[in-house]
Amino acid sequence: MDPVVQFRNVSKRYRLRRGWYPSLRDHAAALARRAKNWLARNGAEETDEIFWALRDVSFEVEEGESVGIIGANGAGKSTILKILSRVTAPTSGSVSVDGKIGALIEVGAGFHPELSGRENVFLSGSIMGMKRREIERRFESIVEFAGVGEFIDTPVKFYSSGMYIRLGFAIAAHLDPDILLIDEILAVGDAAFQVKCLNKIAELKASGKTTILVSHELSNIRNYTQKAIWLTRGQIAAVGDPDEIVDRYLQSLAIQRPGASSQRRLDSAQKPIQITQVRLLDGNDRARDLFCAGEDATVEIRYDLAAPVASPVFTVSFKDVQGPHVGSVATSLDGFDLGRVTEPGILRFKLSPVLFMKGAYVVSLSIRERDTGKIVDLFPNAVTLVVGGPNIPPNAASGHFIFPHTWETADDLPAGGVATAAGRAG
Amino acid sequence: MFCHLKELYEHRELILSLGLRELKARYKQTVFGISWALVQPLSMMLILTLVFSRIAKLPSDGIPYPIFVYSTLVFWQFFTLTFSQGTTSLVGNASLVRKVYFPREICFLAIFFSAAADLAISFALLLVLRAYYALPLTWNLLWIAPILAVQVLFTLGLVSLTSSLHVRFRDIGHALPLVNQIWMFASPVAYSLSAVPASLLPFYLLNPMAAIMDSYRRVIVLNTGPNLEYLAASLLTAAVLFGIFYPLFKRSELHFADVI
Repeated sequence: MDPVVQFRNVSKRYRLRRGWYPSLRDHAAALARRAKNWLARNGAEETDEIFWALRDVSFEVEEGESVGIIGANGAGKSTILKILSRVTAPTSGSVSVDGKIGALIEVGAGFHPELSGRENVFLSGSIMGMKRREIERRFESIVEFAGVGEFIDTPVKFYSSGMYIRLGFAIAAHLDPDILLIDEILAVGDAAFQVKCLNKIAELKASGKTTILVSHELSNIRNYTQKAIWLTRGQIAAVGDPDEIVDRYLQSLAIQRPGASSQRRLDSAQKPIQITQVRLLDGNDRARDLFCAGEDATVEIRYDLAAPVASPVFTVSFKDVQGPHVGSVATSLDGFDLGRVTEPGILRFKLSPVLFMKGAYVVSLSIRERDTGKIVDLFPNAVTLVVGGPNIPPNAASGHFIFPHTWETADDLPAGGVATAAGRAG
Repeated sequence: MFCHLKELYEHRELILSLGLRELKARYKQTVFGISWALVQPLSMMLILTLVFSRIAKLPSDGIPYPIFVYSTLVFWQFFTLTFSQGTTSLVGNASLVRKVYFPREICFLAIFFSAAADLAISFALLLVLRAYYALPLTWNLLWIAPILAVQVLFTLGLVSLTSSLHVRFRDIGHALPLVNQIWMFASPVAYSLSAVPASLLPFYLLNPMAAIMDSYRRVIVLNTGPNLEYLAASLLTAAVLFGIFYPLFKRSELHFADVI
């Protein structure tokens, strides 16, 4: 099959602006500077204001293929979509696209607050490239998908932000392009709506539509794409099987992050109590940062004191390296009281066992005053806990934890056991 | 140029939708709705009549001053609206420009579309005023269409330049009201072209809007044809401007999303 999308040595340069809007005066100043440089025979262009969002990026997408793009913020993912949808042009290189592009990028593109939902459906639909007739034909379905029902004739300025986003997505989901671009869309809406969105994407994938998906949700990349492109700082780091690429990406994230141990110098002696060192240890008290689910892990916290502190409350919190906060627990949850602390010491937080799903988790720590709840010391991003393990089959699990569980059917129950309802409740 | 037009034709529904959006949004939550389109030219007519006719006793080619000035005001209003709103239309639609692709001139074409609705209403009032002052209906009125075409071509070329400059330099937006004011007094809107000293006329006519405004007045109230020589000069200027600035606009639009 012929590729329907071809990127050949595409680079994109942005000029970073120092101030707010550039004004004529800035340009006059820049011109004067350039003239001075030229007079001084200093041919070198100023480089400090230039940023390469993409550098020499080449890839192909074949018809019916679904491709995921991953990478840190600012790696150039959105720039690729912008170039594909022709919002902006590459600085060099060439892009060829065979077919009509539709972007599920902008939810609520062109909505006017004063206009009704109905008027906005037609407006936004035509902005996204639908013909009036197509919109008319899909109108009922759009309204149903969005679940705005009777409010369709209300000006959208009176919509809740959820309704607004749902209507925007509903329009976009009814686009029928040859190549569909999706950017981070899954982050919007409530759970029921997310299910609709995911089903829509699965449906598109099943119907053999070419899709390009940009997402921070790595499980979506694993579940919905056949090929992953990993970008770092505007360049392609790797292309290939989504499972493999996502793993390599996670490992690289862990490497860039704080490792298994980190220390810091004491601040000015303002703080009565302060964390000085954090380490990750395994079951044998050896420093380590890679763990398998089911193993024991310990977060060791060393602290120093300027003055005695009564019952400080320590909090350990975990954040997915991809962004979302995963959870935190404090000593106060377990009624664990350090009492009156008078000298430097060590506190150990034990995970026995590690129940996290495969991924990398950044650990942050804080100390609060027990009575006021005031945070006296904060040690953000102290260490990274990397959890490895076997790959999970598509759609077999999601989220951050695999919590203890078992499955049973009625057959497994003792004779005369309660029927299906109990099975469901369990 | 041809491929640009073809693409515009493919996006004709978008021009319509955005034009309707401008129009609907402008008069939503107003009691008088689109009749506001009459307020601006009518109030200008009253003020100018008071100042120029009653106080300054300006000659108006023997025509009652209100209809004399309204005949040009209607079209001047259209020019001001398309010129200033067209100039700022790209920045006004910045959120779209940053996110969705469409030929960028659609931003100001939609303005032309919505301004045309205002024009139609104030033009209807012009016909009523003509009847009130018992001006005869003549074939000369048909000249309005080609004169309007010259005006639109000129404004399109102008806005191609100013709107793309406005994307980069917001200074343009601040200068607009001033430019509009000066431009109106530099054009025969409130006074007759015959009041301009002959020695100044060659310079005066460098402004294409001068001949355009004069032409409207001739065909609408003076009941003669336009001065074809002047009008042809305006057409030439308009065509040259458009021929230069529209392709330039199309070239720089590739990067609007980066700088807007």
